[in-house]
Amino acid sequence: MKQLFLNSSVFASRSFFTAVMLFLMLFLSGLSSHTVSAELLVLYPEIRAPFSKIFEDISAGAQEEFRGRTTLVSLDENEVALPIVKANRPDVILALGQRSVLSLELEKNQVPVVLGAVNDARYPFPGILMIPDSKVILEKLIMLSPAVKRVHVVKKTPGEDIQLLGASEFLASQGKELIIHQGADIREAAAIYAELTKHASSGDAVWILQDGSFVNSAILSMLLDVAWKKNLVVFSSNPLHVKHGALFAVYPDNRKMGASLANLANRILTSDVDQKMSPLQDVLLAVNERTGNHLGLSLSSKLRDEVNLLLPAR
Amino acid sequence: MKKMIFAPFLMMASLTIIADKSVADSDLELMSLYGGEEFISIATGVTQPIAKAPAVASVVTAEEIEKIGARDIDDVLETIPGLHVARDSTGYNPIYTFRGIYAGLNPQVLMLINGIPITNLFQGDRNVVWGGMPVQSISRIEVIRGPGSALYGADAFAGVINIVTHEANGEEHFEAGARYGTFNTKDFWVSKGGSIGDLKFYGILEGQKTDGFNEKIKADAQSLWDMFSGTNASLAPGSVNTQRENYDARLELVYKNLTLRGGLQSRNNAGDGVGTAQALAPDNRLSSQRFNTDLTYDNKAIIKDLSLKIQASYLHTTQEVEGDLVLYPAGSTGPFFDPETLLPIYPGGFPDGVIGSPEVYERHSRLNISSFYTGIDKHEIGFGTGYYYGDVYKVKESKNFEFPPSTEPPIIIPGGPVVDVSDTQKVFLEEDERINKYLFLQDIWQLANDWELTAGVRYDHYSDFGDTVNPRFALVWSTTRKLTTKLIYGEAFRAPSFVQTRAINNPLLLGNPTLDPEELKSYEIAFDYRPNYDLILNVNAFYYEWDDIIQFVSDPGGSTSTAQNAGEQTGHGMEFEARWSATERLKLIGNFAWQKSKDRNLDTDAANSPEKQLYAQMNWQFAEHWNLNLQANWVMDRNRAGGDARSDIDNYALVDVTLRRKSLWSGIDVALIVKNLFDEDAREPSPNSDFGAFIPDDLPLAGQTIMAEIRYNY
Repeated sequence: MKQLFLNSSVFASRSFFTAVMLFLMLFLSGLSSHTVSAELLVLYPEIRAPFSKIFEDISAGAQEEFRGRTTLVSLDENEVALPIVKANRPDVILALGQRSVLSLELEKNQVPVVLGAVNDARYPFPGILMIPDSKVILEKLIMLSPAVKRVHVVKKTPGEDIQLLGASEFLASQGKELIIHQGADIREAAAIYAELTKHASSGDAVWILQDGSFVNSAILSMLLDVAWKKNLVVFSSNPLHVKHGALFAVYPDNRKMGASLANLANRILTSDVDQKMSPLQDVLLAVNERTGNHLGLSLSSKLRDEVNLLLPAR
Repeated sequence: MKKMIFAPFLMMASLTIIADKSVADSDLELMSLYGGEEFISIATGVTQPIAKAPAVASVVTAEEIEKIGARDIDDVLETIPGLHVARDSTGYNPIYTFRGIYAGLNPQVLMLINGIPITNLFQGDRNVVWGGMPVQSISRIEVIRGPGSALYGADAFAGVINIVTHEANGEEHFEAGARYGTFNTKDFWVSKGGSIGDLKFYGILEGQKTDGFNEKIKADAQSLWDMFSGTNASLAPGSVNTQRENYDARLELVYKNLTLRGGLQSRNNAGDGVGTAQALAPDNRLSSQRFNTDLTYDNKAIIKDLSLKIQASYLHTTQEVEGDLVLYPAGSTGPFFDPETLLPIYPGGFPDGVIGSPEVYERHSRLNISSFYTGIDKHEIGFGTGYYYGDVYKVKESKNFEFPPSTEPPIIIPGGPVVDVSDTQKVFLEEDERINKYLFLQDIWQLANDWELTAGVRYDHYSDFGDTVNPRFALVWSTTRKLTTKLIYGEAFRAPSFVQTRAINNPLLLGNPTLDPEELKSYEIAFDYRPNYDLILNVNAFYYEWDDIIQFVSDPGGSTSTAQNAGEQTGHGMEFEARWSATERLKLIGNFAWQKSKDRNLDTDAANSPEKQLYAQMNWQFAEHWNLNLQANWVMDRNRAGGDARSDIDNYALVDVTLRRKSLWSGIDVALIVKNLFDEDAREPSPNSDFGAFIPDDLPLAGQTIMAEIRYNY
């Protein structure tokens, strides 16, 4: 019994050894195909601190997530990327910021491109915009202030605004309503804000769009004053608004965004990927605690866990 | 592997999009999503927002420190409303004066580096050979005016200064810089930050060497002894001695929840100002070697709703003398006079001078555990406990005098060779230790919409003077969207230093082991008004009662004085501050502080602190890469101590200019820094004594100084 056992174990160990060797060979060849042959070239603009930190963080996130070797190259103004691409022979390029896309001289480029850190959805590349997904913002609104019933938004351009994509449907699914106001210029927008806040009451929220809601400091000040008096929720995707008294804003989680971009790059190497830019899912949350307290929102520990930046401390 | 070929029309489409835009600025414009440069630093984690502190607090960031051309933390602290940096006669050590609370050695102010006290046991100060602290390692300086013992324990009394060094945040960074200027002053620094895998690091080495400024004093303590004894030993008139050679090194390593820090402050070849005994001694040289390390485990959510921070720290400090320390110069008879006849006890004098070289070695260990619990709605409960062990483990002294003269066969022959009296009964201070255990509890309670109450209390037990309990309350009311009102009440204690409890064999001053801590009660009301986004106005009013002030009181029938809880002072005042971003490139800061404090025992105005202080700063980025910073500081209305016959000390105004050119070449910045532009004759009060002031014309500050700076970073 014992002998048999030994024999079988010897046999077993031999076949085990063979299996391990085979696995290692396969693994190493697989590994080498990733570590040696999969090359990601990250191009990002050389800009001054502290702005440069954004690109550093995105790049670091991408580097962590990409299954292969990553090379980071910063580009000076008007620098052409073709020599860099030729020198590095990447399998995929992650272009960050508009300067990087332009530097590629796309008519000469044969390497697949993933694009990040831009805010124009018309680029025909797989990529992620700096514009947050409306659903992501509105989920934060519902988490922080579930009592909100109506969300007002003033938009600049007629037609579709990517920031509002899916917003109406999402709010409807939560039993809430999106009311879109449209202004042709800042004067009209100011009048719209005045009018909507005049009739607004607790349960109304105002959503300030990125570069699309005509909000200058005078309008914001007026809006925040009325919001304070009437207990309205004001939110946006600009943390500076939070510093001044908006309840919350989302802003990009650069590292995670970098990881998501690297995932796109990973996928591009193995399968088809939609050639379109998607809104940003990876966001951080800034909350004005003073405003939250004024609105009587209980920023309990559950919420605090979700809040990345609590302002202002004064 | 799949390679994709782009259809030409796609390329054309993308080129069209690109062609729409001005590329040069679009990436930066995109970044404005974050709402400006200030916010981007916060949003990218380069800087942290101020810790929640319902207190009258100020924060100065590294960027602001650079703009004002500061070399030392004192350059920065002088800009804080209600804080004035006066000077001690020994080594020109800083006396951080908050709200009229002034005392030599300045033990009423708690200085922390990264939240850990650097207080020495010997004198309760930051070290007799402090030698300043350079600023390149500093990320920000947080200053709380008023007491903070409920959180920080002992000595968070008149104010708390927390110096936060650059954190290891993983950011790749290298900087090297140097300065050279007046008084043969040379500074250099090299810093490097980055990460290796999950390990983040930041390290810096800083050096400062100076011959010191050479302002003169007309007379000193020896001038007075010369008058009594008919000698001619004084070296006054002569220059003050402020030379020094400093090396500072810091390293921070962060791995996940663990942070390990190490720091070194090496002070060498330091002059002792107007003299250790207020008698000029240009050859005296002191040194101090200070080493600190701390290990912190910080977990924001160890379990649901509960954070945990455990910190162990160690600080080793020394006060050393290079060669002999001459208290009174060669030929002096010393301060030894017959009280009846006023004739010198040693008429032959001391041929090498009166020499007494005291050295003190201390070690401090701390363990602190704190936690925040947020599981109860509308409450944030903080609690913690800690243990401190401080040990003056070595006291050395060599001297050539003894007072009172020995009745037994003397081991010291006055005026004879210097004798090492370390580990004998004749040494100036007993070696001893102190243990402190404490508990604290704090609740931030959202009472109602717009109302928040912070209530905290801390219990401290000391091995040498017993128990103390210090509460603190802060009610914060969001009065309107633009106005916040704070009502603050706090109590504080100041632990007696070892020189006050354990000094022996001193010819003049004796310690008292039965001393109680000094106590302070403070009431404040503060308003923060932000009428628009570009203007911040802060105003506060305060009242305090300072009791059991430790003073040296003359002993009946003898020539000595013994430390007693004798003094009592009250004070009130206001501080006003405005910060205005006039344009994107022009920023103006101003503050005015007024205080009136009374010595209750003598019923006189409290001495030495400025009753009024005015500060103005203009920062103007007048062209791309160019920055001009102008600041002016007026120090006004300092009273003499009761019994001091001198006329009041003159007011002064110092004007500084810093011109900086960034990116002169790739990564290279240059600056020109002028301090005391108009070469104003500025003086800080010298102490009075029973014999009158030893330095009658007060302590002169540096005249005009010019420094050139260059730094390289990538």
